[in-house]
Amino acid sequence: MRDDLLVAALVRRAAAGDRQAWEALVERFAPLVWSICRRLGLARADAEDAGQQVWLRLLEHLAELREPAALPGWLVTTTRRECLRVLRGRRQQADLAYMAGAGDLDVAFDEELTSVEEPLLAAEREVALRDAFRQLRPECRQLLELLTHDPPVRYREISERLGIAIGSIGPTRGRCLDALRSSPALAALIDPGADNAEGGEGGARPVVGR
Amino acid sequence: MPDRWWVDDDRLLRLLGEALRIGEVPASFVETGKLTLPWQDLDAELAALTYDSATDSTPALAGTRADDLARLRQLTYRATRTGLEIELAVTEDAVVGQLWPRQAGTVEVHPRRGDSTTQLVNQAGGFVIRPIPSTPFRLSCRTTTGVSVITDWVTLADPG
Repeated sequence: MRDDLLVAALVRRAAAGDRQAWEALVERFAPLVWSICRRLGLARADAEDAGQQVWLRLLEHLAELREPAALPGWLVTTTRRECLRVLRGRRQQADLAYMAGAGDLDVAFDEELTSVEEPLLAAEREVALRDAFRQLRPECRQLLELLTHDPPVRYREISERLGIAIGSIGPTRGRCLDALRSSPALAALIDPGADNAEGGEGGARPVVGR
Repeated sequence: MPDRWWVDDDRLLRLLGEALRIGEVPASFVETGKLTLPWQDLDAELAALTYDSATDSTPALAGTRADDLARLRQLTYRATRTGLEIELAVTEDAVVGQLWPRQAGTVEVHPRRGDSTTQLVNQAGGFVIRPIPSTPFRLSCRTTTGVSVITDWVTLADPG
């Protein structure tokens, strides 16, 4: 079944009180709601509070959702609103300690997400990346974790912590990223024409269609 | 034109960093969402706790009950509009329930963690939940007479 048709069927069944359908909708869109909250800078506990409100709104909204295809867009808008409400509440508490960085995501993201599709794609991508990351060898996970650390960790320190030569960090990084790309979790997202576009290490790119 | 974000090493690494900082969706985040449904369950009326033997003293009865009965934790939930009462008694290995007025139906157990289960309520309004749920739970009850109520969260852990 096509994806949007599946969602439409779930929405109809959930609106009629079908538990399984409701739970499937929640499972499906939880990464989207989570991702939006975290990108807006909400700490984990606050993201959970905002999420709870989003599910309540969704349940109230289900019956009047005439066009189920509009659900993702509605979720994006509603999640942002609920997150901003939580953030405003925080600011009103004038809790300077919180503002000073107890929010555990005080990082500006490179990729601005403004449209409705972008947060959806981003959430899908994040789930795939985390799944793929989990499937990597421990050596790769350690290295990539250090390389993505914020603030950045110097190569010298990485070399000391992992016991590998500075000169081999670059090549290992390349191999680990190739392993990441070819893991089944990411392969599912990578479209068939993507192969061989860049020479690079070659051959490691999966060719998997949807 | 699809965005081929995975091709460039630097960008892939940056996006991986984002994904890791955003972090796994906590199981509790998903569970909370799933549990939203019975809270709102359409026409179900909320049955609130009106009696709990763990916290409410019943001096008039305490001396008169048989010892084994008096020791059982007992709770009563009442839906005021429909007048349905759900009595629960916690035995060693089960929760024994009774609907007042007596009537048949079904009772769904919604634990905070784990799957919901459905129990039949017999004609005398009795039902048994075995084993005792290990996490707080709600009961949603539909009777054959068309009454539908859902209890507040039932917490059976020993009151601290």
